[in-house]
Amino acid sequence: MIGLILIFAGSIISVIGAFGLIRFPDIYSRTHAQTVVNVGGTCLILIGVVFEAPFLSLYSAKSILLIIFIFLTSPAGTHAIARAAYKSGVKPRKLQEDQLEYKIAGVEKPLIRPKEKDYEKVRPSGYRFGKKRFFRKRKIKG
Amino acid sequence: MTYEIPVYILLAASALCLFRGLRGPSIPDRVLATDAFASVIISIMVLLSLETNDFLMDIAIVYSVLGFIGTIAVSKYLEGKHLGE
Repeated sequence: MIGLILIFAGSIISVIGAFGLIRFPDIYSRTHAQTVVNVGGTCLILIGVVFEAPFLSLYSAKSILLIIFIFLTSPAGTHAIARAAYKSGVKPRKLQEDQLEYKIAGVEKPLIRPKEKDYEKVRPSGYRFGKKRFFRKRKIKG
Repeated sequence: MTYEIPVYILLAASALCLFRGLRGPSIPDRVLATDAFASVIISIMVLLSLETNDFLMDIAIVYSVLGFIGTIAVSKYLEGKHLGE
């Protein structure tokens, strides 16, 4: 009974993590959802399989081996992907100033906070709709 | 027969992972989705082998090792290094 509950919980957590893999905006936040699928879903299902299998069999031994392996390798793989993404030039969304770039280059640069009007220029552009005239704010890059 | 419902739920999760893998904007996105897909397939294999008492458990162990090695290899390639460095 405990095993069935754990297996159902693991499968539902896997679906939630996969849904987060679609919904998150950025690769650095998608690593969080991928960890949910890896550790939360798969390891919960494997623990449930340990309870469901006959006691002290080769089957549960293999399952425990797989749990230990996933706990060891999943953080390492996710860390390597995130590091490769930064090195290959994928920037986080809504990034204003990259402090890590200065740190890698060895240049000390003080923290400069840009003013509001510097990075968010708003241009009103109107369009006609019936008699009234609506205005819509549109952001300009740069 | 009681393990059929979690297998169907996990199939839905693997379809969502494949969607992210097909239209990820960057290459690390696709690698991330492939890793999640591999872990979902591992859990499906374990559930199916619990029902039929088959050799699918050994295949699951080997598949997890291969998925990890593929992830590390692609990330090292994106950094511009070889596997040993």
